[in-house]
Amino acid sequence: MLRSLQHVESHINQCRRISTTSTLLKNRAGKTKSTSNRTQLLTYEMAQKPHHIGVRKSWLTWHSQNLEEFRQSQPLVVAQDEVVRRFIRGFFPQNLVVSGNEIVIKRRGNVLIVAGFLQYSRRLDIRRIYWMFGFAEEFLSILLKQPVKLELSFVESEETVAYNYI
Amino acid sequence: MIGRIGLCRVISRNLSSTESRIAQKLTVQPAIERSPTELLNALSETVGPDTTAPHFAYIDDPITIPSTQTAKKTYFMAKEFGKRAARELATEWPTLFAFDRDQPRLPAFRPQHLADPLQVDPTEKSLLSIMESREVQDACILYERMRSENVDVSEEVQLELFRLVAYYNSSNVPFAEWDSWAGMRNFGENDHSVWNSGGVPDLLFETLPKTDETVSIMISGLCKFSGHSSMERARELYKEHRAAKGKIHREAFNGLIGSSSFSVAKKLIQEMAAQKISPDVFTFNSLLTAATKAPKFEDRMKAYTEVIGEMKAIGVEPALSSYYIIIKNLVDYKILENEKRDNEEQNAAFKRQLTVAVSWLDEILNRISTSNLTPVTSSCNLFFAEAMCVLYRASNEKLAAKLLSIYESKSNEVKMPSFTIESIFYNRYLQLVIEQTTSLNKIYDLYTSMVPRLVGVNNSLSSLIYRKFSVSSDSHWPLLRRVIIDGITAGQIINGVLGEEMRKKLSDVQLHTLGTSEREQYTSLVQKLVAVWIEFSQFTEEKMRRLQRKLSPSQISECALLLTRIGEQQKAYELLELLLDENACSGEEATVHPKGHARPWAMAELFEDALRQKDTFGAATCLQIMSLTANRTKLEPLANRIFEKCNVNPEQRRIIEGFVRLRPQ
Repeated sequence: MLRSLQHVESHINQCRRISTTSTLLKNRAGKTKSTSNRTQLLTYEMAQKPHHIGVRKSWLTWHSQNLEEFRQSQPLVVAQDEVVRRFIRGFFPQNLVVSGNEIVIKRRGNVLIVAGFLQYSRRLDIRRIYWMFGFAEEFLSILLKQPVKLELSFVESEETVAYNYI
Repeated sequence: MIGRIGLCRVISRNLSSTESRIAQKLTVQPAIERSPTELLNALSETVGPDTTAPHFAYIDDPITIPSTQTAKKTYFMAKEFGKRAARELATEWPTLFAFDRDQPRLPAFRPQHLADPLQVDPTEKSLLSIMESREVQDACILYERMRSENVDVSEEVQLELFRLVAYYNSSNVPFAEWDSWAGMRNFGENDHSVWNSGGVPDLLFETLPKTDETVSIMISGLCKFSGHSSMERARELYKEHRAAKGKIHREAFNGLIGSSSFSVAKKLIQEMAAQKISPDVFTFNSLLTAATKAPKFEDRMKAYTEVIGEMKAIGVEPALSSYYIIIKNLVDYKILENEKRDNEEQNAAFKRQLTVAVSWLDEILNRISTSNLTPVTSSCNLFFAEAMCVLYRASNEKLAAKLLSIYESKSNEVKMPSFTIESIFYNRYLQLVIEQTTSLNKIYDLYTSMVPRLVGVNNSLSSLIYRKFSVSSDSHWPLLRRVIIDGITAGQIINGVLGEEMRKKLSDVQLHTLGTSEREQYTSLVQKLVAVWIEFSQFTEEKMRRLQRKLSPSQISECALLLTRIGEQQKAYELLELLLDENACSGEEATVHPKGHARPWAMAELFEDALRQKDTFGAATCLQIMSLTANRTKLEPLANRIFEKCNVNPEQRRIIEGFVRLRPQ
């Protein structure tokens, strides 16, 4: 009897399941855990709970991917988004806001538009920024085979995009 | 219950009135006939240029919008170089970019290396493909390689190659004809090149049989890249061919005419007419170019009138480039600049010529305002910039406004390249309008709509606006603030003259006339300016020495005055102490210019301010600074005023009296 119980445990670990106990049966996506000393920065979008989607959190989701004629296959789109996010996170390492999570990717037809904020320290080398923008746009366009435009704007520090600290 | 009955009566009364209204006859208006696109047209009319945004090529963030022309060029080229770097990477490693999801296949996202002429097969097909892509130098190399390997090249291909290399003088296409890389196309400048003799074009000319076409191509090429020897050769070729009863084409005639003097050109025209070749607008442009070579104004005018008359008689419509050639060369270039005009006679001649130029321009504008303008040659767009320059010299605002409306109208398709020539056009227009107007409101509206989107901030524009402030009796805080902030972004702060203007205009501002937010803006602006000037003066380390701008005594006094105006007395007096500190003026760590003295009006106002606040130390500091330039007689009344107004104890009184007594008479 004990020998059969040994196999049960390994079987249980191998399959995926949904938890139905009351403590675990809840949505955790889109909800940020609060810290004891209120250091977790929240931007406006991050501060909205998931049930606000469509109510307060809809503006950033309006793009042509939602339209029937322009829709591209979903897995492809997810992969492209991930490529773009990783590229931006890696290419502007000193300038990211909220560790590169708050990047908005929208599609207008075939064009992919990346919007968000970048922060700068006291001195910003604007020439360097323009070079990097040109490189990033061209690189991503050639990589994804569709025009990519960056609409990133600059804030002095991360605190400017903060809506709340929890 | 009563309320309900009353309500019924009210409702029934209402119903009866609506019934009577229904009884009246209703007339339905007939539908207005609209074409399928009328609604779209009406919507598109609401769309225009956004005057608050920068050019679309730039990142739309206040920190990255360029203010000056050099900044615009730098940022645009930086972005382009980034793109080129990415493209090079993609060309070098195509297998890393092999995400082939696009239907249909887009070659724009698959950059490829150019065919190497030394590696590719030496066949006619590869030569033709290299010629298609207009890689002139590569085509020459490949052709020479094919010749050395004794590969046969057919006559058609040789003729095609001859056309290409003669047109471009065996060098690659000039910047203005690049179709990718708009930055190089706009900002790249080609030097005028002279015909390369002994190159592939000459070789091909010898190889090919001498027909009308080949001789015409050769002559056109020699004239396009004209130098002394190439012109001689062109004329000889022409004479030989004419003697052999040949007939050269119109382009060759145009080339010959353009590089000769006007009398020779007229002879050539007659020969052209004898051979029954009708002239076109390019022929007349070449004639006008020949006419510009006449040194005297009257000869040039006569020649231009003849040419334009001829064009009218034949019915050839002059292009904008024809007008450009005329306007550019009307006024003698020797007396064009103010500095070059020595005497009254030259001034009078200049005025006369300018008047003629303006009257010609008036005629030209009347003609072109009614027609649709399309570009005929690449220099058509230069007409607008040149015309605006002439109107600026003549201070003619009315015609300038007309020219601007023609340029911006929908019927005009001739556009100047942005950032380079267009900015000259708008800069001249803006300066002309600002000079002619006295209303600061009008200047503010025009300035904010044009700067820095169309016109870069420059020193002459800012000086002009400061002059307008001096002359005008009323104040305009938003305009002053805007000009000063533009000056900061354009680096005018370290310019001595403009820095002084900024301080002067700021001290002229009447603070009590400003609103609360405006006063806050004033305070922050003054704080920023003073902080920048102090920072610049403190670059005393070795590597920063070349950036250092020491404070001058007049600068210090003006800054101190501005600081007292915004209520920062302590900072003001710290600054004034620098004038009395000898270590600040000399040595390695000097931050103050040793020469010069404080502004008397600024010191007087600071003194009055100190007396009003009964600040003995402040008043004494001002007195000490004023003593650097004033003598005892001037200082004594000031000292007396200190004794009157401030609480001076006997010790302090003795020190001040002694100080004044020791000053020279």
